[in-house]
Amino acid sequence: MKNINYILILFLICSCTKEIDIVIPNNGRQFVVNGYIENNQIAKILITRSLPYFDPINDNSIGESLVNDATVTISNSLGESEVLTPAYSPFFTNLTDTWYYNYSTSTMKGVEGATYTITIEKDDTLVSAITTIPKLAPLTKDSLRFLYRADDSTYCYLLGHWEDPDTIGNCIRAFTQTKPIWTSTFDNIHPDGWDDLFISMLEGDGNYNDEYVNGWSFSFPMYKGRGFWQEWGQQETNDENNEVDGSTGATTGFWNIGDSIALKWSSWDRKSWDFWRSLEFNNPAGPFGAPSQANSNVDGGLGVFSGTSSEYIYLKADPELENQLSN
Amino acid sequence: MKNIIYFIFLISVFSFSQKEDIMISGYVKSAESGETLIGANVVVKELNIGCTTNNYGFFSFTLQKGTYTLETSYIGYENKSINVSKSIDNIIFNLSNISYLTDEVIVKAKKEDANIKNADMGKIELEVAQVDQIPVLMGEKDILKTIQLLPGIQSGSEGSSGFYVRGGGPDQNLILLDEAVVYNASHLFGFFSVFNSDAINNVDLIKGSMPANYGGRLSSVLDINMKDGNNKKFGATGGIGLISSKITVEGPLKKDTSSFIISARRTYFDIFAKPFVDTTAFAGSSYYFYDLTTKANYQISPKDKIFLSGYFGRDVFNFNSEDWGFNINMPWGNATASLRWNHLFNSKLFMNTSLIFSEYKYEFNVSQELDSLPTSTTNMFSGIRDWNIKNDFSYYPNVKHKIKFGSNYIYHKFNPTSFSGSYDEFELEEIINYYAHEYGLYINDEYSLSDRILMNFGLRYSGFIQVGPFERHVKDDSEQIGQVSTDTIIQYDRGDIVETYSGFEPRFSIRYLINESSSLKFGFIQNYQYLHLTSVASSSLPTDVWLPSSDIVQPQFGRQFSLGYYKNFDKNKYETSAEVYYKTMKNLVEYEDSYIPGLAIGVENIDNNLTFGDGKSYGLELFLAKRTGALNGWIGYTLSKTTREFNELNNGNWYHAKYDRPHDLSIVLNYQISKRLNLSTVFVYASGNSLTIPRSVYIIEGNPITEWGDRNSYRMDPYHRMDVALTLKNKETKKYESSWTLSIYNIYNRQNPYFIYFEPDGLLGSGDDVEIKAQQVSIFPIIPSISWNFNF
Repeated sequence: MKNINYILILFLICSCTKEIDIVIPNNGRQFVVNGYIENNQIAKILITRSLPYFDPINDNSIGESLVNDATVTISNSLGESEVLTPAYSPFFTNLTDTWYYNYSTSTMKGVEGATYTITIEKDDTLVSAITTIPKLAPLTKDSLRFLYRADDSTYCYLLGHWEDPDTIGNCIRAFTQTKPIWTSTFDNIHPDGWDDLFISMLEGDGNYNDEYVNGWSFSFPMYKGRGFWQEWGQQETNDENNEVDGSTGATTGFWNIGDSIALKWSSWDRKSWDFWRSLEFNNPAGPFGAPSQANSNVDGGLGVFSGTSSEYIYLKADPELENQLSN
Repeated sequence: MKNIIYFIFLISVFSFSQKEDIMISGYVKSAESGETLIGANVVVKELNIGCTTNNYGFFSFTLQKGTYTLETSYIGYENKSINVSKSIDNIIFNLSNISYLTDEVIVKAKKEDANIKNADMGKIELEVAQVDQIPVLMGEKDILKTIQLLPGIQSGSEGSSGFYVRGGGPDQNLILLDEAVVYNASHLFGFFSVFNSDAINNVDLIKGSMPANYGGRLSSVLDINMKDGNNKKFGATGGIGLISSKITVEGPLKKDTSSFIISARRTYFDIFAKPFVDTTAFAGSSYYFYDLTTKANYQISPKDKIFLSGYFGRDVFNFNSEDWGFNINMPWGNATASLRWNHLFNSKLFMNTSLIFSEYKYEFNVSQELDSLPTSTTNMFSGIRDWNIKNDFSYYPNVKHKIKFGSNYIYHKFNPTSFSGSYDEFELEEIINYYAHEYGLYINDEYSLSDRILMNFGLRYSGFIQVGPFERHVKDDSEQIGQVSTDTIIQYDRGDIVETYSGFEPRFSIRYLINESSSLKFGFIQNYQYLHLTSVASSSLPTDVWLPSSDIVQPQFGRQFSLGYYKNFDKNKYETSAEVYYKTMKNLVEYEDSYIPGLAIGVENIDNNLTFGDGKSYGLELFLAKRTGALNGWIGYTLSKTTREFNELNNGNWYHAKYDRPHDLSIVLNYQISKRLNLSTVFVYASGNSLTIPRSVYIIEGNPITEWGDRNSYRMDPYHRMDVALTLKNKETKKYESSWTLSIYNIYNRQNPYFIYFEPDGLLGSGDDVEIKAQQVSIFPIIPSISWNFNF
């Protein structure tokens, strides 16, 4: 329903907007889970509390919302169980490939096909969620290639080829992490010049499933995602005075020629994929959408506990290279 | 078959041994144009009994032998009377127009005490002349917006022509244009109705107990009759307004026996805006709508007349973005056609047979063409198409009974949402249609028990059969790894019965005449609705989808009780009423909370995502009208409460319906300053719409996500507005008259809330605070407009 947004623009042009005060009753703060367990990796879990709606959000309020003293347990269908180690201080070093976390397993690692149950206990609150690690549906690696941006050969985007498995139900999330030729715009804790985070691809926030196209094979474009710290149209540059693209400024989605890229291609458990997919519809601005609750799989709280199986592909952003795989 | 035998039996009961009687029947028409006058009053003076003409201008009496004076009257026309002493089959009363130059006023009931005397509850008749005086948005006269000014009827959002009757949904109004169902009565996202008032003869709205000849919707009937066209001479009327122009041409095909009317309207802001739009990156973007209404009739013999009428309207929205090589084309609209045959068997039995086609279609086409990328196209379309045959009889056995009976059969084809697209080398297309038969049989008797008591009782038997070809995707909820859904598909072949529903729909109303100027009425209705309109948005959109009752969707079921007291003062100069109603509704539909629009179009049944619940509404409606005099108008006030309960929404708790409005007030005043100058004003006040607001916010990967609170638990600021219109008639010549209308919408520039959205200000990680702000959007500030109308 993206279409509707254009109509919304028309409305906003000929209408008048003002800020209003709304008093929201204080209903207590809920537990928020953002955790995942990936094949061959430890589980990484961030537990926070929701925030009052109109209060300012900043590092302090986020730091204050962390829940570091809960009892967190993960058990799996293989009969294993582990109480998670809190990893709460300091918050900003516990960076995983897509986000921060404050709990992790130390021995338990993800296994394809296994089901995982997480329980979080604090005082008299009990929160739980269940997920399964799906079998990876891999991307066809050797057909990956970069194409120049139309009319501008200093930027490029990625073309992939996908052969969808016969069984319906492949849910994919795709991310990239970039080592830009310029300095990253987000304070990096990675010493080697890589961006801190894997970020979702642009189209559909990197969320894809095969409900329409089960069993098909086709090529598709992939655009660099937008980091949460970036405005639309903001691209990295080494010189603040040098505008990247003078004509439109809309360089979101493209890589500089020469960037190094790590592509993370993940199969996702359906229930937790639904959560990520539903975020796009969570807060529609306008009369044409209705508020929609994120599809949480967490019982007794908000957020998501995901099972995922991923592959990582390293690439060099250069349409002239014969083989764009690196490493 | 049983029912038909029953009808025949009833008729024979009423017809026995009345040889001593005289039978009088005929039509009431306009002397100037030959246009039938619907709802005109015909009174037998000696007996003080009367009736009103039906939708074809027909009336009939059976009287005991004697000599009587028959008098007819109709708004804006001179009364006429004749003496009768023997049976006459085909009296035609040709009433002459009263010149508007007299200070008799336009807003006047057909019969001054009709509100007291008839048994109809919550029935409102509107002449187009009445609509003409009311100030309107951008100069576009609109019958639907006039209706919203009456008690018990609410508008949707600002400027919307959608209406909500006594707590019912927008899909619960049966909107008929010359008997053809109009499925989407709005242009431009609801701001204008699809009906061009120049082509309309009259409008009836029934919000209470509808007679048994109407079926298929729970809340109301809006019965619109097009003009027949002048069968005496050619003429044209038209208007030039700020956003659109319209023209109507009418005249005889053969003098006195047949006539036609064609009416067309088109907006032109796309044409004015084009030079500006084409200098932007959105060149080629535009919006316009048009509609075409046409009708012809032919008097085959004194006893037979045929009518052919049609409507075709389209909205077209185009959006182009050069930068993204993006093009959207969105047409939508209705088409209807009806062929009707009136036949008079004898003075007592009148028949109308109609063949009706109606269709609503919506398309959404996107194509994207960027240099280095394969071209992609996506087409989404949905719609509904009906073929309908109706047979209605009016039977007038004697003065005490007016019987209507008949049958109706509709073949529906629904296309809820289909999808086709191509990208690079592949194409796909997914369509699941629904097919259904709907039928109804009814009998209705208006029986005058005594001078004081008039009863109207009816029984309708309706049914609905969903048939193949059809595919039902049954969802398997087993949590298999990564599975989207393990669909089991049940296949139905052409003609297979998927599901059957049927039921009785009794209706009853009674009027007790307390004295000549006051009465008490009670009404009850029970009915089924087999169609559902589903909407993901909080306002009516062309994308709203009509769905049939099916193997998993049950028909809507409603019951309504109403009680009213009616009193007129000062020789019917002032009319007042107080009505209370209590209404319950079952099997209402909404999408599940988790439903993501457009995610599974075509590959599964859209009704798998629905959830079902109940509704309740009760209220008090007060009405005060002054019908005559230089200053006239009305005040309507409604106090009501409308709630919904869905097991799977709002934790199963009752919540306010979207358009629940405790208070709703409308004041309409009209002042004839001089023979040429008329001033009118409208004031409306309504409690704000209810709205779901957030409970808290949480951060997921750097993005603020909203946890929404209880459904519709917040009420927006009240809505109020005043409009003014001034109409100046130019000096009339023999051939030609014209007028200027200056209207000002929202004269004190109130910023009424249209919607509220919540927007984070700032970006996490930027070092600054992120604050979420509630933004209230208002549309339509003060809008003056001017239009010129002519008639020759």
